[in-house]
Amino acid sequence: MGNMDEASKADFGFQWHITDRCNLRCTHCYQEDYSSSGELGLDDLKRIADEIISTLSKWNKRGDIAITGGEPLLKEEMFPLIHYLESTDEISSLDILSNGTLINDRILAQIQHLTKLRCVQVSLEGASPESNDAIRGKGTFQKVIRAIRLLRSGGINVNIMFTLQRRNVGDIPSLIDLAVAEGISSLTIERFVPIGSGAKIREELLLPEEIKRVFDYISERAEQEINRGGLTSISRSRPLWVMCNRNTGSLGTDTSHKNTAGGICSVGLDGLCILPDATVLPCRRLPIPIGNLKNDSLLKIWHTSDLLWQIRDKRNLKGKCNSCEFILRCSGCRAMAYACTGDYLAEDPQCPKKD
Amino acid sequence: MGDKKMESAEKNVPGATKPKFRDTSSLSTEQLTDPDYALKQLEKLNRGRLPITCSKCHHCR
Repeated sequence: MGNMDEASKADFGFQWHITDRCNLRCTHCYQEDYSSSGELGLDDLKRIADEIISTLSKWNKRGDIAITGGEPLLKEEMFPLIHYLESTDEISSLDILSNGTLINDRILAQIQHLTKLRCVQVSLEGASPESNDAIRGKGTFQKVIRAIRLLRSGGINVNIMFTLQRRNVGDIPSLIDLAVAEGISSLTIERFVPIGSGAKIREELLLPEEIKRVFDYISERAEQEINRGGLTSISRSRPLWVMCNRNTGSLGTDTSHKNTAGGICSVGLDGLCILPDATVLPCRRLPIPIGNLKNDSLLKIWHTSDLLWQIRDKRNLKGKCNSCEFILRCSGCRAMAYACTGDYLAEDPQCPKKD
Repeated sequence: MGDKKMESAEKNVPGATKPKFRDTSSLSTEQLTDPDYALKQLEKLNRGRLPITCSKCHHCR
């Protein structure tokens, strides 16, 4: 089978924020509005689902949908919507991205009945109550650890999301230890993008040389886990991680996401973000609406959005990103460029690569 | 889409601008029909190798 067929086979990803309501107020959150305004009821959610399904069918593709919020477990329509999505051939897998604080035995039982669930993702911003709770709120660390253990005891794959900030960078070694000890399936350590509430704490952004040192450390730990056959995969398939790749000869050949670092920004390539009111964003952290599924078809948005076509053409990228040898394995984070410069085509301001 | 039953107050997305759509006459048939058009262009530039995208890591949380 040729590689061109591989692109067609790849699933299309949706990150669907079904509510902005949340029981937490994390300091770095990309949201500022936690209200229910614009939120859709089950009938309208199913209309959006139908639009997704019919588009995937026209494309002859299948979809991965990550259901999130806000806190998605606050939305009573979440499980009915997931059951509706699961019942279709076009949806291949689903994930639930939660803050983890509301997961109990009753929720676990509902999760265990899902047929296409890939994982539940919970967030930790530190490896101790002190460091985590300073960002996510008092008592959240213990609640999330309880949720992780409950989910694991119920046979559910768990992913931990950690957002890298100046105040929690020192927790990374112990966080990796914690993830391994708890039998976490995957750990994602992602850069903080200063938008929403997070725009008030720009000082939490690390400098490029600091990013390089941290990514090198994480990469080394990720390789150690691979070499020892550990259960925990540490994700490195994001922009800038290619800088940590010691085996550049294999760039672009490994689709396992495990043995090499670096992944091109998916904006305009194979995924979209949907907000609670059906507004569509290129990525949750790039808050520029490119349509609304109440008025615009997915086909119209994907095939004719001016912003998506601008970003798809990598010749439009500016600064270091424009001529970078790693453009096909990175292209910088467009959300970070926009948050820091107001220009989503600007070079990634945290890139450590020298000109 | 565009069903009147779905009308509701839209959220104010900070920094929001009105979405812009390109005239379909400025785009090729492949661009207007193939969802993987951009991925395949990158694949060609990557000497036939499929680029790894970041969409599976849920970075947005």
